[in-house]
Amino acid sequence: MNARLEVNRLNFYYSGGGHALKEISLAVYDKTVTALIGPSGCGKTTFLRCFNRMHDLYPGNRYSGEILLDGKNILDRDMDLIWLRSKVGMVFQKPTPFPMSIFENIAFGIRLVGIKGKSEIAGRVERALKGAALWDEIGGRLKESALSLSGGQQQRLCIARAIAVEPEVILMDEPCSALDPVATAKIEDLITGLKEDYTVVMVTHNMQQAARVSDFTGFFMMGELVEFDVTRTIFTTPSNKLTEDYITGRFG
Amino acid sequence: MAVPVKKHPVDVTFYLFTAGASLSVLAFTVGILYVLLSESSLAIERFGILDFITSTEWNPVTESFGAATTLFGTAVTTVLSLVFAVPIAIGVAIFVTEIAPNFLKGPIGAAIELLAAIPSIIYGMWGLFTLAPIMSEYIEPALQGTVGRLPLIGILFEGTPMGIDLLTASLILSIMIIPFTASISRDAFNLTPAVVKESAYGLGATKWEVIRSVILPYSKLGIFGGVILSLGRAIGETMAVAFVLGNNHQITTSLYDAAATITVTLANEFTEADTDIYLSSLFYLALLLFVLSFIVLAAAKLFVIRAERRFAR
Amino acid sequence: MSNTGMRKFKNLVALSLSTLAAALGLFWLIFILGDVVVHGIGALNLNLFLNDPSPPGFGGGGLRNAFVGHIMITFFATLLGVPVGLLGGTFLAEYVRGKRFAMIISTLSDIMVSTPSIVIGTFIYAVLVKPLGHFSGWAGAIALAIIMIPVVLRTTEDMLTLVPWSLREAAFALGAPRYKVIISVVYRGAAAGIFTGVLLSMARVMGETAPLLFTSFNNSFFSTNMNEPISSLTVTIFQYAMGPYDDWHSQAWAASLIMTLLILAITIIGRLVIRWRYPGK
Repeated sequence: MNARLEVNRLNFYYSGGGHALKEISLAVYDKTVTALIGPSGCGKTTFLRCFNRMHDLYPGNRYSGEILLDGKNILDRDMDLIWLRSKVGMVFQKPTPFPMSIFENIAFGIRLVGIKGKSEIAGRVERALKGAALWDEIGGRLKESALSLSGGQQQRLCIARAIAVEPEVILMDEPCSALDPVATAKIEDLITGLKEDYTVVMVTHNMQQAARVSDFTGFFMMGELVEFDVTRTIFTTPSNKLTEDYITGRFG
Repeated sequence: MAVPVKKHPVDVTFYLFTAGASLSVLAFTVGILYVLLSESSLAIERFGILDFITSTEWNPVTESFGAATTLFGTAVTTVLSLVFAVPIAIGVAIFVTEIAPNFLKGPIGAAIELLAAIPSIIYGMWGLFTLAPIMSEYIEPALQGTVGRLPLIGILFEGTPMGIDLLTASLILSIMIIPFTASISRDAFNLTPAVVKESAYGLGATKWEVIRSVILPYSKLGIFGGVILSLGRAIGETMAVAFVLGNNHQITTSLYDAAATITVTLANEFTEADTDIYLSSLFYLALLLFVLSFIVLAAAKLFVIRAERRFAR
Repeated sequence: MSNTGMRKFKNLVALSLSTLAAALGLFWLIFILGDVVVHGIGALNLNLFLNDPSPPGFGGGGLRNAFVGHIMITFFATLLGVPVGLLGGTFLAEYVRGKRFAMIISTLSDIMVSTPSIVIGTFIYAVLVKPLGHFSGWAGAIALAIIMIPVVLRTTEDMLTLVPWSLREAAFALGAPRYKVIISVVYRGAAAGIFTGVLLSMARVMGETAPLLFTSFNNSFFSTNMNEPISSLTVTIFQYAMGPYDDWHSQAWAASLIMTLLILAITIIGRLVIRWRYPGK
């Protein structure tokens, strides 16, 4: 298997000085789902937001170490963040529809990558909605405001928006935590399907979810990566005592 | 059901006092409307409503009064000042919320607020002694030599540049409302949830693309309300324009001509009005101003409330 | 140019324009303040505070009458306006919070805050000056008080709303009557905010000219009689600046400098209190 992302001795410091990630090293393999689990405040979301340099929106944050995307270190000072973010998409904890129509929400990203033709944009919007299993539900109401959709639909719209840009990696930050069980099941199905074309890294606080949808799992605690392995191994025969305690619910 | 409580007498008194105090705002609003109406009744009877608004006469000697010239002055200075101020104010708001490094955000925001706290009479006096000479010596001749030569819009810049005119008054008014408009726009920008901005950045959008496609649509109701609020402020501003407009009752095509607004007319002529009909006509102008600004401010308030409600859900 | 290049170029242009706009805003601030300071400092001297106006050309005149008059008008305006605004805001926040009545009064106050102040002047002229037959300091103070009421009312309402309910419940649980809960617990919890609101509303009316033009009018002699026309700094600045004499102009600059510094100082203090007491607001 090919590593799509390789993290080597990554450290991250918040502007306040907090050392949030300590010497993290792991590999994210191509066309797999990698889950990041751990108690809240353990650094898993901080880690996720390194992959598209989201931390750079707020001044004073600092990285050291390297994250290689196809062999290129994305933490380089001269990294083009706009290029990076079109290669590494992101879906957030709460749905974040833009205040425009359903169609425009998805077309927004498509236009950013320089596609202008009307029919091509329409085609890609349709493909993205199909890819996010939304087309059958809302294909007929593309002109409506995205804010009119239900929470689950909004979240799938955000996934559609992310894949419409055709990134290589999709980051998901607890994508189901604001959703009901039915909507959650739909998103989980979707994530399993997504790995045919994309590499997915997701943060989740729900261990069953990690077990259900991921191929690899990383367990974080206090800013450190305690254990990283194939998901089944983590959940059946973890090598670290801390991991075992956490997945059996003895703390956290 | 709650157990009936014996009311403490001080409690009742306090309740009544506070209720009365809150009603005072309503009482003043109604009172102002009533008093202005009754004071201007003489002029309303003599000149009517439509005729008063459309008449360009303002002649104390013949005792013939109309509001058209002052409404013209008010409209031109207000609209022009908004045209100057709004783009700059939005630029300022963008800079403060999205561009400025953190250590500059506070000081620049504070400076803008300070600009809003300076009394309008200071703006007016500065306009008279400093800006008007600069306008008449440099800026107005320069405009005449360039855009003044263009067909159609050339007539806006005809005449001798004196500096005491519609253009200078509008410019001062715009400087005065920039901080006001900017601080409302900034508040509107800040209503955009950070995570929505992040997800636009997450798609690889540039900062400007995030501002144009996400932040501006999110805040447009609030900004629109802010612009109308600024309009309401500009309509009623007296001292910033009183120094540099010249109080000349005329409708002109050139921005280099002196003119009069409702406020400037009131400020200059109220204590000089020697006949009942003259004074009554001035009250009539005040009534027009009050109603006009009330409508504008109420509309602005409506927009702001709607904008807030949209994000409260 | 490539797509990304074009986008980055547009980004650069738009951001530069915004930065330029901010620079322009700051430029005006520095220009105006600088000008007031430069002209004002040259005209500052002790006579300004100690002497009353002398006939033009005689020199040595001052603005003692205007300083004292201005302080008196502002003081009485505060005395009249603040209690009404404070009590009114209390009613909205404590007795009818969330009700339609509170919303109406609160919206009406927001509108009245921005109502042209010259209109208030004409109103007071009609109800006080004309019936009594003369301008007076009281007329000016009442005009300013009317401007202050909605400002104080709105800040009071907002600040009382910030006081947590649990605090009131705790006081009620001790058996305190409602007025006592409000006066000794809720007011105390919101004191810094209300104080700031009062300060800022004072700064606001101190700079008002238009509502004084035909209420307190002007008086070139020293007077502390609120039943007579009384001089104020702002009206004097207007009259002097529009007048033909050079020493009038320089006195107008000096008065402007003092007033600007005072108002900016009050505004800054108010903002610091808010920053200190309500971080993150």
